[in-house]
Amino acid sequence: MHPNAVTLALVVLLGNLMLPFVSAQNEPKINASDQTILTADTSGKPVTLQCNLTTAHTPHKESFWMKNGHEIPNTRTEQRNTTYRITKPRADDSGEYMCVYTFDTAPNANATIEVKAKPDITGHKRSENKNEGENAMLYCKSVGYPHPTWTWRKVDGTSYTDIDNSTGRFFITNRDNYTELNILNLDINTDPGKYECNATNVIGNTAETTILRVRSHLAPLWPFLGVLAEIIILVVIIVVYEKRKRPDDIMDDDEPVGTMKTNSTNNHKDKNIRQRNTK
Amino acid sequence: MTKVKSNPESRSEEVEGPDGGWGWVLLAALFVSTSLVFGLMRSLGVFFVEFVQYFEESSQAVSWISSTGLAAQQFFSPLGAALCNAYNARLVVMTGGFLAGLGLILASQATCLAHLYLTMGVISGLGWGLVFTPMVATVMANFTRRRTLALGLAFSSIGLSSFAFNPLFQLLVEMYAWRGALLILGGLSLNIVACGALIRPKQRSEAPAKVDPDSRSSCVAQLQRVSSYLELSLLFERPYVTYTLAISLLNAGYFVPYFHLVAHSRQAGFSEYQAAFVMSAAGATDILGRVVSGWFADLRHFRLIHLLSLWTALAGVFIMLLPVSSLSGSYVALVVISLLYGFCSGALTSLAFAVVPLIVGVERMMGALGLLQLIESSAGLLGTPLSGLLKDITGNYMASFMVAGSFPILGTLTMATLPHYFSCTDPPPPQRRSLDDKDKGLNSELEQMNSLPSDTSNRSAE
Repeated sequence: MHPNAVTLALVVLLGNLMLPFVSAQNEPKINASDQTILTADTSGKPVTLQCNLTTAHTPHKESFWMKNGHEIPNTRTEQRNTTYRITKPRADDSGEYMCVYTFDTAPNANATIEVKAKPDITGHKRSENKNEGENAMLYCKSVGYPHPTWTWRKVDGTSYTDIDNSTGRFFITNRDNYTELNILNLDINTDPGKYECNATNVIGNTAETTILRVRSHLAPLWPFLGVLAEIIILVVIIVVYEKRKRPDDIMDDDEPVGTMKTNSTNNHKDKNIRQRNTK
Repeated sequence: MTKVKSNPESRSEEVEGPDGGWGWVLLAALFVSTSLVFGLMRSLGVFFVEFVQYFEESSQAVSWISSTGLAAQQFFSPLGAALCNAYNARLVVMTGGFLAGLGLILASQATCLAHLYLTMGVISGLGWGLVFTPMVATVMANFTRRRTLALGLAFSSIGLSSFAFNPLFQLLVEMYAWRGALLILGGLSLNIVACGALIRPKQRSEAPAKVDPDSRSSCVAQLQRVSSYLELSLLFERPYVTYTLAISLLNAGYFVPYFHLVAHSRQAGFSEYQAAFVMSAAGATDILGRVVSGWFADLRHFRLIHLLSLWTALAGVFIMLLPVSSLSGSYVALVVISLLYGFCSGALTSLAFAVVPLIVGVERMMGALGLLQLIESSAGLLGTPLSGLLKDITGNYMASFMVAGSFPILGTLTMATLPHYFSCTDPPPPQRRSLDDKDKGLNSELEQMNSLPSDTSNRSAE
């Protein structure tokens, strides 16, 4: 073999072996703070996320922060050491944070910091009133990272029962931060009650209850009949009271000519009697 | 003798007319029925939200329901008055109450918006029209010296019941759904039947008794009877026409603040709660104004017509001041002007009806009130869209409020052209017709007496 060919092969082999090291040397290194867990006791204290660009072969253009895949506005800066401060951390502020460094001649570099919290249920109905036979929709919305798993239960005072779907009328749809419980064709005997949605993730769980009331079709009839009865009784009382007082009223009123005649003859008789008795 | 008793009554109502007694019971009945008519109409907003959701119609289409109801109530007022003149008030009011309740009960079964127009709008509106004017006229006939106070107390029910009904209707809708709530409301409206039952059937010695005995069955006589029931002859009398015109002008501007004050407050830069509070404050002083004005008018320090002119002019001035006060940006100024406006507008409502018997006499009051309601309502219908149009053209509410405020002031000026306006005492109410009646009655009684087979002592007893 030619001695030049062997040398060439060795150089290529070494070059290939060394390439990862070299490119590793070229890749920018970012020093990022560890993941943070937001708890109830730390809720007032501000949280600071830090990213430091330690090594980079080309000067970076700028850096910015992203949360859950969307850029956070007003975080673009040209510093190597960039921080993002969450002043009053709530469950809402948890998520996957990324500090991104942009370069002119190289692809972006980023580091991920996870901020985890217990889920917080932000939206649910306190009560739902539906008629018999209609469909009810109960929902719960949450904020928090990581996304929770949802369960629905029925609450009876202090005891919890899982939802009995033997009738096949219950449908649960779960998405990341949202869950929906649909009940079709409400049954007035079994369905009313308190329903609880429970959101659980690695850090903890929360739950909220919704009261479901089912209105019977006949429910308004009773007050209606009661009011009708009251009115009939009132009218009867009024008419009877008046009939009993009626004879007195006739004497006082100005009656048309016909009755007048009777009055005058009565008066005439009275006058005669008075004259005879001589007051 | 019983015949002589009629003369003092015709000579001076002030002294001999009824006042109190059964009148207070009728006042309570008027209180209840007015709240079930107007208080109910004003609180239907809760249902409209439900209708928009259920029937999937625009809120404008749904608001036509209450417009139809109000229009029907005012349109059928003369009919109610005429029926009272022809038959008796008790029957008319009980029928009206039944129709009002029936309309709401039928509405609970509606399957489309047109059904609601027909039931809640036309049928209930007809019922309300048959109830309001007869009840008001009956109460007014049962009071003389305390008439205005009675009216003030009765009309205060509108404001009070609007306050009470809004949360009540909300509760009913939540517990029973809108169908059940309408059913129960229909039942509650039937209470008007009980109120109507309280009206004691009284003889009425007024215009309709002037039926010509000769041509009883001819067409012309029928028309004459109908027109006398409707009191159409009033339309040819100058004092009545002047007064109706004045009240119509008042009506054109009167409702504008109720429709536009909240929007105007928001536009002036105040928050939703501040704007809503302004309305509530005006509503509260409205109730106060009705009662106070009624009490004060009955003290007889001033003539009713003068007090009415005063309140009307003040109301017009305060309506005009409303946009001016918010120009300065001061919330306190806006609230103060609204309070004053509310007081004046309530004050004039008590008096507006009480003046009518002073112009046309107690006997023709029923028909007069009916016609007045019909004519003034058409002016009211024109006034509010006009103010909306002005706002659309100019971009703010300054022009609408200015124009709206000028209407009551024009009304005051019109009132000043009433006969005997500038005298210090009330002129005697027109008694020509009733005197004729009494004369005819006397004559026919004498004839009856003469035709009796009795001795001459009967005639000497006269």
